[in-house]
Amino acid sequence: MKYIDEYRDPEKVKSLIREIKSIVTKNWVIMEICGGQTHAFLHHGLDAMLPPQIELVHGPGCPICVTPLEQIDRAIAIASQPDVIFTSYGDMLRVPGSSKDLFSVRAKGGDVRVVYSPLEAVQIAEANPDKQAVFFAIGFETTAPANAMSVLQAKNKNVKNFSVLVSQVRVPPAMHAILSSKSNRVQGFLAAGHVCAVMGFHEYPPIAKKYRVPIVVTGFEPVDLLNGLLYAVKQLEAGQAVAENQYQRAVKFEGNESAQRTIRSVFESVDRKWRGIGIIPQSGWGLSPEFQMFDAEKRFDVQNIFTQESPLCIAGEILQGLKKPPQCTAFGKQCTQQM
Amino acid sequence: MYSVWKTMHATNVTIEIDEQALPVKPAVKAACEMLGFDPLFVANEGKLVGFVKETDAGKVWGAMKRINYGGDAAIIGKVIGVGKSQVRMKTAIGGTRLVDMLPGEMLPRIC
Repeated sequence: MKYIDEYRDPEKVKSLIREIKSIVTKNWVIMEICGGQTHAFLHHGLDAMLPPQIELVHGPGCPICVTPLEQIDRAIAIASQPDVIFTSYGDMLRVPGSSKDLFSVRAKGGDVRVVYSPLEAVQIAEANPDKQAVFFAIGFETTAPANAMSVLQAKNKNVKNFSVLVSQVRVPPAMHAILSSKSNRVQGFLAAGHVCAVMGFHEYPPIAKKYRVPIVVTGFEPVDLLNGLLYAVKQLEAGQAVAENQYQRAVKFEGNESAQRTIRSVFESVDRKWRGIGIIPQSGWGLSPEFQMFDAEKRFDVQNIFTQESPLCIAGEILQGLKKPPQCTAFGKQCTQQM
Repeated sequence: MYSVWKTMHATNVTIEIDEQALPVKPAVKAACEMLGFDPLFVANEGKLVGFVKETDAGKVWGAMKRINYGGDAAIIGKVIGVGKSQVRMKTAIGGTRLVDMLPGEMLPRIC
């Protein structure tokens, strides 16, 4: 498969691992920002092939992990109402709220549907004028343009039975939060390639400079990930700290300006709560005043649902690289996917 | 994959699958890449997974290749230990990972 096989070439992988081994002399803690990168490291068994000096910590770039419990409870409250068609990206359905997940809403007769694109949710609204179609607009900068586009389309087509439950977050504020913490262990970052395909990486040089950390914009295939690590280790060993772009086939410094304009036309910067971390100022986007009529929180009156996270949950510490997933004492016991 | 996983549990053995040997059609592989699915867990009706003695494997494989519908038959892995229920995958790039069954239906990943 072109554009895939060349980035999964076993010979290139071996040669990059040899190169990393040949230059690494000290222990380094490197965070891959994106959940997709974490998945790729584990899926290909790449993590176990790295030299022991490199400790990977899995960062906060996973909307499934950082969406706060109360936002999931709000989604469940909306999806449980009659005459609602609740639509979402697939893997959000399995994330437990405080008492159930969206799958169990569906099992009890709720109309909960997986969509690949928020524009499908607008089509569902048009096809079902007697129902309310709601889209769970979660994600980082990667999903923001399409999520924003669904709101623009609904407005342009005058689709009044469509709304969005927004939980849109951004990477750079999370990096600031991690790096400014007294307990920070992260010494270098693999920045999320597709976030940067949208936003570019002009936000990263000041972060690299301020906190003295290398930041390498990195793709998602084994050869990308190893190249990203190689760039980061080279910088760390040389005492450098700059923002670099490994993922040049997809990412430009200024990003996709048309997508950024779409985001800016619908969203404005807001404080966002992150699971296990709490509120990070100006760390996300919410609907701007002009688009408030598409706000599902207001339409279904769920703004006042507030949920306490379990004191056993260590998600926040894991997302900041302070703890490892196997250290969770609640996993498989108090916290399961079968609720 | 479910057959391999069930056999592993029923017999308490460690099975190693070779990712490169899995006969996944290019069209299936490409569709899964686009849709965010893992071909290991996509429904695959009407297929046979056989466990045979290592010394007979070549013979059985040859016989399967000669019959109708057996053209893509492949030796996809081996039992490498007894006493520990585990399915491992030797990945195409030379790594190893554990393969567990999905906890529910397969969902496309957002991240």
